[in-house]
Amino acid sequence: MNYEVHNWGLNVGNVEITGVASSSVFLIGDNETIKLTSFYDTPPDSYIVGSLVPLRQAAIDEGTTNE
Amino acid sequence: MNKRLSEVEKIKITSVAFSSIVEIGDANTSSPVNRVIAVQKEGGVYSDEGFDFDRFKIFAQEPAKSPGMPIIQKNTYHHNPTIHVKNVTITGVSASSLVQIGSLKHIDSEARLKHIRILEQEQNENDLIQ
Repeated sequence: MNYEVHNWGLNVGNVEITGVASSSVFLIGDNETIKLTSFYDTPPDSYIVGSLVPLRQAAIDEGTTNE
Repeated sequence: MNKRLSEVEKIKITSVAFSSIVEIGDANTSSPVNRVIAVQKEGGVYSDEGFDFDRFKIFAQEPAKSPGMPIIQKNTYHHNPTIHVKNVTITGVSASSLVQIGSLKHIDSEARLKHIRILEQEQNENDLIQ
């Protein structure tokens, strides 16, 4: 397969961006390969009721047994 | 790769935070990695103890394999050797992000974000009515 690209010209006036975040990329220039991966785990999947995550340090500070 | 010149007349960035990069010039490779555990706990979070990355499988998970690409013969012709941009305004660049004026041959970026909500007790349906 043959693929031909003609870049006759590129002129941009104004670019306005609020945020570029979480390993995102804003590029003014040429590029050959680009791979952007993202993993998300947001509620309700990660919803925890009660302190299931052991807060070990806090337990020691309160003087309770840490078993 | 025959790359063009990037010409930006004016750029204004208000904030660059958390290992982010603003680069002017060409580069070969960039592989930013961002790992976050966002904990919202009723009563406040006082310690990061117990929130190790290796406790959550999201930080070890392999990305799904992309389908194999057919081999193609690609030819790019730049009839104008310059990319012109008059004005760029960015408020924030954060969490291993990249803003670059110039060419970048290879990019391999990765972001992993785990959200955790911890409530002291389960919400009662009657509480919502009152």
